[in-house]
Amino acid sequence: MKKQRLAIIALVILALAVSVPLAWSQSGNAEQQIKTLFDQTVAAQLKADTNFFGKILADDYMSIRGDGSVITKAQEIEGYKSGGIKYDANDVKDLKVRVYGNTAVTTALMVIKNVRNGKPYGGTIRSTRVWVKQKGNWECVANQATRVASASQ
Amino acid sequence: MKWGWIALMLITFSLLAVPLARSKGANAEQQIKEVNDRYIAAQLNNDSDSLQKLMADDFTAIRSDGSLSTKAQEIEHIKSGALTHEKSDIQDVKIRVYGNTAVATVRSFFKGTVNGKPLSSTVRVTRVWLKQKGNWKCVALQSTRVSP
Repeated sequence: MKKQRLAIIALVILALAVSVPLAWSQSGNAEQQIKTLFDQTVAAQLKADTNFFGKILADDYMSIRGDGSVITKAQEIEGYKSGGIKYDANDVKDLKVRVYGNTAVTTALMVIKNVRNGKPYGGTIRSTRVWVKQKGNWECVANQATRVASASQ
Repeated sequence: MKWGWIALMLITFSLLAVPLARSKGANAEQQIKEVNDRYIAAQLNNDSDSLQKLMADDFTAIRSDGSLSTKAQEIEHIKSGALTHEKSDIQDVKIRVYGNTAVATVRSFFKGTVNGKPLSSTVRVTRVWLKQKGNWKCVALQSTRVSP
């Protein structure tokens, strides 16, 4: 009887010893995963990699751009395809990642140089992206950009 | 006979569970609409106490001038009178719920003062809500001016 109880206690301790560090490493992993996805997103912007955006953007993705206009996933992909959106530079200065279970929020300060509908567009922007893990994959559901006024840089 | 009862119970439970799960989703959307409205009302009333309760501790805001602020800075901004709202007309509210997270976007016509200077502009604002210990808290806000 005593032996049985000891065996149960040992099993519980063993289970905790295995699961606690696993949970820790998973949240650490998620932060790293989001950082990697963010870097891949920036690289895809520079290469106009529409296949990547097809996968990483959620179907209900919505983006509020620096001029306050709103575009959908289809419109963003079409923009890269047609050349209406073209990035020449995108230097990420300050990336912050917060993970809340199956959700993550990234904020970044970026210096961009791009072309919008044939006109040069550039400057410093701050952006927020919201990432949600759906069916095991992280997807970007929302993006917003705000131009940084020169006084508050 | 016994199996018949079990099957009947399983069917009844599943019939009950589906509408329940659906109403939960609809409920969450309604809840987000409420907290989002409360947040906007608190801004309009310069009510820093209510804002404090609606913001998560790690709340961050990206203001329409592109500056980044923490919860404490945002509360101070309102308490000190550096930011006052006279008018905030809300249009085009969109709410998307993903389990314990929700994204709410609005288009808002703002009229007020920033550092004593009158300002009126149309902005698009995103608020990210997270359910923490049963309550929806705002973890991130971003505002972008809409070009005329």
